[in-house]
Parts: sequence; structure tokens; C-alpha cells
Amino acid sequence: MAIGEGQMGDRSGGPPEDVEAKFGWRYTFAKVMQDTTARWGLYVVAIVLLISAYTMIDSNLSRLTFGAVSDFTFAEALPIFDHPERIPPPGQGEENVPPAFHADGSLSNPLGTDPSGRDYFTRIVYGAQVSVSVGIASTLIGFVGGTLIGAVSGYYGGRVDDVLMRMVETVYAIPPLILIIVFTVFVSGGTPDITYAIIGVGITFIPVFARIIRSEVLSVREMDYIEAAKASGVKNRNIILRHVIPNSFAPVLVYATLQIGVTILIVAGLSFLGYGAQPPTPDWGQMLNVSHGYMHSNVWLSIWPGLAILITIMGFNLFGDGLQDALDPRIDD
Amino acid sequence: MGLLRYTAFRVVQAIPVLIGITVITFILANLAPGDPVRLMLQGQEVDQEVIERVERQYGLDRPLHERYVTYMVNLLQGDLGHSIHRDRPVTDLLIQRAGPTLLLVISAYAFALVTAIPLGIIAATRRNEPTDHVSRIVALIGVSTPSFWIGIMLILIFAIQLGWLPSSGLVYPWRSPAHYGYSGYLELAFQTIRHLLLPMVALGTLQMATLMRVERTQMIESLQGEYVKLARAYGVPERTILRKHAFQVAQLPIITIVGLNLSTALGGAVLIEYVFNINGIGRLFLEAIQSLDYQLIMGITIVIGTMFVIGVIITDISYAYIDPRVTYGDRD
Repeated sequence: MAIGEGQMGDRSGGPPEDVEAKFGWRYTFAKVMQDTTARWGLYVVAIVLLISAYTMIDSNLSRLTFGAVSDFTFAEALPIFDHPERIPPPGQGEENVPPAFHADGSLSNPLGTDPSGRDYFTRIVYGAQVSVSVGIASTLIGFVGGTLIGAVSGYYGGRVDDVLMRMVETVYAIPPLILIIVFTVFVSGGTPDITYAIIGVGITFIPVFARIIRSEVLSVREMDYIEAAKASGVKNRNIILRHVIPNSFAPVLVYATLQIGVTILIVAGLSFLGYGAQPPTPDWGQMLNVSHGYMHSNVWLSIWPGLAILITIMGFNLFGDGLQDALDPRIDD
Repeated sequence: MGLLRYTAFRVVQAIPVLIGITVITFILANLAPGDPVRLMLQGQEVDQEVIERVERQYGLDRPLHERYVTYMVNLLQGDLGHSIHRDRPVTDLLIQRAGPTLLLVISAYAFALVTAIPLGIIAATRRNEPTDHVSRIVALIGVSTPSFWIGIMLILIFAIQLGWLPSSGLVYPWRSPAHYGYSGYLELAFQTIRHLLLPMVALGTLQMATLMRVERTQMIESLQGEYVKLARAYGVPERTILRKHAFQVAQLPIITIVGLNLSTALGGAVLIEYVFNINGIGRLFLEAIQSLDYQLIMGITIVIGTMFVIGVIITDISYAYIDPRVTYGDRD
């Protein structure tokens, strides 16, 4: 047995080393990094995540240090940053300054200033925080909700499956943007806020996640180890949580990465219409809403937030595509 | 016969979803903190007596399930209730605003299909050549850009900087030329297209990009099929193979995607109508939300949900019609 075990590996049932290596996290990561476009996507995602983590810590740290009253940010200490929310007092800070490469621009405001005289570059940088945190938080809600519903639906089948799937289809039938606005406005009692938006977006994503996990569960539930667990008297709830969900995870994880891009897209639209982040919080969609009124006088205001959204989503999409390829055993390099 | 039975089956299958849409909308609109009347007044001080009278008038004092039954009975007769805010039947308001939205969504799809299919085929036949790379980059940008921002950029370039195209409103081809003061139907058609061009591209880009990606993958797969190899072996010209053998099979998933993406397109219409000042259902929805006109909001949500369900059924049926494997060889 000892001799030739390596060659026998492929047929003798036990997973040979080189095949098993194709499914580890390290292998997946290496494969993503081999793919040029996916690598760039990952870089963009990493940069955006770092920026939003930094700005999030910064704005909360100053609150902790100086109490809720102070609105100082540490980034202000650097010459290229201003405060993202504070409107400069009259006489200080020029309004609607064009970007630095423009003849009337200056290097102190690389992307110019907004109609309130705030530095646009700072606002764009701080805007990453809202888009990214909302994107991740609501994807997480959809992910958890969808996983639970999909797992229960697929595992039990029959009437439970019918009822749950009809519910999921119903939520799916109403266009996300419309459902989210209705949810946000009615549940908040007419005063929309980013928290309601996060929950609303999360709920509308439950259907897609539920469907993916359900189809995975349908094959997992026929496995021998589920049969074994049932035979040894494990409760259904524990079978679902310990065996079914962990084994149906991979495709949903890829989908979640791709979904973050879609979420940011939807949240941008929501904020653009005024139902996402509220001023003075810097948020790309909401900044486009403000700039919409200055399309004739200050073109630049409409350009930068859109580019920021485009680059961020493109990063998530490229990375997600690469991840999908890396996890797809049919695609070989 | 098979197709007819399939149609009936799909329609019956959709009924629980349609009922579900009304339930969700009804619950959302009615379980809101504070009753609809107070919500609508937005904090204005009004006598309790007045509120109670309005509630009685619209039946808001009755229990939720009773109101739902009444609502459904009216709905089945085509009555979506009465907009308290606008003092008009919701159905009337919707019919009045449906035209522009349909015009916008249908033309956006037309634009998407007309561009995506040829580009996808070109990309597939010239795989890994520069043309393929360019079209993939275009598709990537297309799926990563918010439609409303594309709209804003198009307005900035073509309306504000170049002044070639109008930036707001639509011209409706179903009105008479005299209504707009145009000389004849030719000018009406010209103006309709001129006004439609920018919103159509803005709304259609996402669809174009998605469809292009699918078309490319499908064509690549289809071109590797056994029947294509056989045709090549028989010396059938490459053009004929593309047109007759590979193309048809590759179109099937496109139909499904068109149906499923209707949801994004209808949601996108809200944003595009806002950016381009188009008086469609999307703008009506935003106006209704702003004034918390809950009957109107419910009506719009139900109608749009129903439009999506019907769209999916139509695509499913046309899929079954085109794909011989589903239609039991019931084709001529």
C-alpha cells in the first residue's frame, strides 16, 4: 500500500494532495493573484477598504477624544485634507473652485470645492466610508437572511419549500429601488435615514441569496453524512446549522462579493434620490444629488463622485469575477 | 397544445406571487408608525375630529384584514383606490403616466439588444483579439456605472457642452404634431427620437453590458458545439455557420435575461425619469413618496410588480416557443 499510494491517489477514493490543494483558501488567493484583472480589482477593493476604515476610525476617534461636540478629524492635520462636513464660515473658503489642473484651480483643493466651500477631495475620500459600509452591511443582511431561508427551504422541501419560495419570488418581483424606498419611507415614518436604507437593501437581497443556497442545499441534503446525522438522531436545526449551511457556502460567498458592487450601485441611486445618507454626511450618491443643481455652473461636481462609484464597483466586479474563475474547477490555467 | 397548457400553467403559478405583492405592499403601507393620515399631514396640527372624519371617509378606521379584503375586491375590478392627496383615482393617474415609462423602457431594451447582440458575436468570433478586449472593457464599465450618472454625463456632454440634444422631457409619438406645433409627422418622429436618445442610452447601457457578456459567453459555447464542428467539416461557409447554426441556440439565455432584468430596468426608470424630467410612473412614484400619498404608492408598487411578473411570463413562454425541447416539436 505504501508504495504507489501517490499514483493510486486519483482513483482510490481518498483525495490526493494536488487535487485537495485546488480548494484551499491559499490556492484560491494565489489563483486570483495570477489573474491580472482580478489582481487589480483586489488592489482597488483593498485601497477603498483601507480608506473607509481609516475615515471611519478617524471620525469616531475624534468623537471619543473630544466628545460628541467636537467635529475635528485627524486628517485635517494633513495639508491636503479639510473637514468633510464642516461648512467654512463666510469669507473663508471659496465656493465652487475648479480642480487643480484648471487655470483657476489650486493645489490646496485638488478636486476643487463644493457649493458650500468644502474641499471636494476630502468629501470624496470620506464618501467611501458610507458606500462601503452600507454595501457590506446590507450584503451581510441579505447573505444571512438568504442563507437561513434557502437552507430551511431546500432541506425540508415540500410545502415549506413552496411557501418560502413563493415569498422569496414575491420580494424579487418588486424592483429593489422601489421596494427599498417604500420600506425606508414607511418604516421610518417619513424621515429616511441610512440605517433604514441598509436594512431595506439587505431585505431585497434575501431572494437571490436564498435561491443560490437552496439549489446548493438540494444536492447537499442527499449526501451520506446528512443521512448519517439523521440516523444518529441529530435534530434538524443542528443538521442545517452544522452540516447543510457550511457545505453549501462557497458559491454564495462569491456571489456576495459580486453583490457588494450591485449594492453600492443601488445605494448610490437611493442617496441620489435623497433616501440614503443624509447631508451633511459625505456620500457619493448624495453628492451627485447636490451637484445635479449645478450642472450648468460647475461641471466638475458631477464628475468626481460618479468616477469614485465607477472605480469602486469596477474593483469589486473584477475581484468577484476573478474569484469566481478561481473557485470554478472547470476553468484550468 | 403544449404551449397553451404551458402558458396556463405559468399564469396559475404567478397568482400567489401577485397576491404576495399586494400583501407586502399593504403591510408596508399600513404597519408604518403613525397612521397614514397623520403621516400625510407631516406634523401639521389638525383637529382630532378632522383626522377621524378623513379616516372614516377612506375606511381607515376598520381593522387591517377587512381593509385588505375591500382593497382586493376593488383591485380585481381595476380600482386601485383613491389618491387622497391628489383627489383622483389611482388607476387614472397610472394610465396617464404609463405611456412615457413604457416608451422609455422599451426603447432602452431595443437599444440594448441592437447593440449587445452584434458586439457579443463579434467579441466571441474574435476571441482574445483587441476587439474582444475593447468590448469586454465596455461591458465592464457598463455594469459598474450607475445609470443615473451616465444620464448626467450624457446631459453634460450632449446637451450642455455641445447643445445637440435636449436634456429634459419627452415628445410622445402618440400625440398629434399640432400639439407640439410641429409641421407634420416627420418632424414629430424626428423630435421623438431626439428627446428619447439620451435617456434611452442612459437606461439601456446596463442592459447592453449585461446582455453583451451573456451573448459573448453563449456564442463561444455555441461555436464549440458538435453541430458547428460537423457543419465546418462539411465545408459550410463560416458566415452561414454563424447565422444559421450558432446564432439561434445562443439567443435562448438572452431571452431569459431580458425578462429577469426587467426589474432593474423598471427601477432604473425611476432614476432616469428623475434625471431627465420625464413624466412617467417613476416620477409619479417619487412624487407620491414625497407627499406620502400611500394609496398611490401602493398602486404603483403593485402595478410595477405585476408588470415584472407579466414580463417574466412572456419571456418564459417565448423561450418555450423558440426552444423545440420545451414545445414538443409544435413548430412549423
